[in-house]
Amino acid sequence: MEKRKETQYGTKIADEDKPVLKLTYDEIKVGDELSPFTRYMTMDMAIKHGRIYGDFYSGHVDKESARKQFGVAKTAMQGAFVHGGFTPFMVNWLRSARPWIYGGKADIKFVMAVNSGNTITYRGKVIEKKVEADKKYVICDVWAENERGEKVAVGTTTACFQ
Amino acid sequence: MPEYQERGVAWEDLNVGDVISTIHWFVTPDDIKMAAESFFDDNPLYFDYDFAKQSEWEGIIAPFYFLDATFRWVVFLSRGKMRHKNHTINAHGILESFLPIRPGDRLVGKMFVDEKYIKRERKFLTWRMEIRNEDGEMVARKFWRSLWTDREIEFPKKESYR
Repeated sequence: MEKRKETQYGTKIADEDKPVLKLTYDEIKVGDELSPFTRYMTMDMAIKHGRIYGDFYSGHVDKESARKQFGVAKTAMQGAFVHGGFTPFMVNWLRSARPWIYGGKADIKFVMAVNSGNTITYRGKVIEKKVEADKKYVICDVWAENERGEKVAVGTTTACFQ
Repeated sequence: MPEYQERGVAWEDLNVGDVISTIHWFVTPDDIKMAAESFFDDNPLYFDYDFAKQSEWEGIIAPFYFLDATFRWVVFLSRGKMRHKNHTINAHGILESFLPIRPGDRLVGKMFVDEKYIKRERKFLTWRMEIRNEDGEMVARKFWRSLWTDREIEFPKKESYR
């Protein structure tokens, strides 16, 4: 068994001298699948999210407004919230926020409403690697799907390695 | 344009190239924490100083979607003394990050009307939001396309909150 670092009381702890693992451009291959990321969508999430931009009445935070806005009396999650889920999805897969913050891109089309009560899973696959000037890009085909396997958002993400 | 606060701005009122408003923002750790919380993203890099200090960033940074929290398109509209007249439905979003945003940064965001068109008798409009730091470097950019419906927003009456 691998030797673990221990405290004076014998408690095994993480070795902070070891480097943190993160994906590198060379380790990523075209065809690789990204680690799925699942999120349960609740009305509470939509309401809390709406507060940051002063939304207290739209179909994202009020069921009656949702009926008038979307035609269904269920609050719809904000598109930006669904879009935002691609960040933990990418950062978890890359094990680093660096290729996402320095030149990252999320190009996402919304193809179906996401309602509170849905379980959304973000998935993706590497489709291209390219080098431009001093930057290396990894492009992924990505999508988010509900618990019935219906795609709700589709597009591409780009991670940039320098 | 105060009249747009009263009656709401319609798709027909906007022209490609219009600057809606400018927002100046001094970034605090609380802003970053609130952004992460509103997206239900528990990555400690965005709010735990001790964790962030030991990371490759050596301090707290803002998440990729920070623009969506502080520089939301409806906030730009509000700063421009406008509100949208009709319900809109998100169609497509492209978010790009070029440089990290940290506490203490002084950001300037501008929102423009980037594109307008009609497809299958449906009206689409794309906003372009650009965020620059105090050195004039672009730190993030977003294109946000929505379908503008003909259904007018009805603000809730006081009674609906009782």
